[in-house]
Amino acid sequence: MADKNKYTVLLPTYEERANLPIIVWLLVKYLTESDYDFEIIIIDDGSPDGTLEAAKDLQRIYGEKKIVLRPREKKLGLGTAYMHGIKHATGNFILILDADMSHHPKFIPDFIKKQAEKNYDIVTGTRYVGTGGVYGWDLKRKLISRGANLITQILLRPGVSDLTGSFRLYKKEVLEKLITSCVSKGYTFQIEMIIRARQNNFTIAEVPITFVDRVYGESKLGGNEIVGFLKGILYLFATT
Amino acid sequence: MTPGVHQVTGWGLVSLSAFIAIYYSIWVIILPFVDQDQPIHTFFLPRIYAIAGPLVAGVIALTLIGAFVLYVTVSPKKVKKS
Repeated sequence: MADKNKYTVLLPTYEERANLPIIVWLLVKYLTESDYDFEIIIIDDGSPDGTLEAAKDLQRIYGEKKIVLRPREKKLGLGTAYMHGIKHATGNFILILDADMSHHPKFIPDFIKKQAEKNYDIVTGTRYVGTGGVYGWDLKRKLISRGANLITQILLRPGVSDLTGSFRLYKKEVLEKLITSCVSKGYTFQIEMIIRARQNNFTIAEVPITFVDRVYGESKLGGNEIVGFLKGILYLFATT
Repeated sequence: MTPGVHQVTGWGLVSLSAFIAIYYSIWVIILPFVDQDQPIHTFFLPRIYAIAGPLVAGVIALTLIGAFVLYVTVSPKKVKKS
């Protein structure tokens, strides 16, 4: 089904040299199969492992219209990476997902179909509803994730089942508006996006996805992230 | 640990929560309307614990959380200095 919509995939990367070619191949496969017009914007924050070199090779293979490079010099955070990527986006929809293959591009057609149902502003992937789930996490990680979502549900009442997820489809103007109003960092950033979306009365739909623990590389969740998350949640609770 | 064990743990947590919720509801809402000589009262502690229990649990929880936050905020600095 070809339509006039174009989908920009924003891929912020940091030390994803091993994962990048695979995720790009998967994105290209599923988006081309479903006959959607798309581009992939890779925002690398000065990875020391050669991620940018890999990205340049991919650009040579797939062409500069499909693979757009917007690198930055150092690690400046997810929110600013999205802002930086959006400035050069030519699509009217923005897809965000993790570059470490925890999010499988095969779900992207589901997102797009769901969005078309009622012209939703945002479609977010959920691990906690229907066929959604996680794979490869140990019990501790699952408890932390569930615990975090529980605290968020109690304090913020978002009306969405999975708030820390980062596999989402936004209308471009919706993402632009939300990013400028968000102040949080880290995991809380994704939560704040949904909370701000609710404040602005944007419509949100959910699609079950399977989150698979990353194949290569180190995951970045530690005690610091947890404490940062709690602070962020309390801030949102107090101010919204 | 396999997903099977995770599921069992999950059900365990749900059952425990359900048990506590039902026990507490009966304790605090139903029992005051039941005569003191009925046998059901033997299953429930004196009602003062309905207040003391959650209070102590809350204090312990806050202490543990506070300790965790302190530990996480203080120890990275120690690692950097050494």
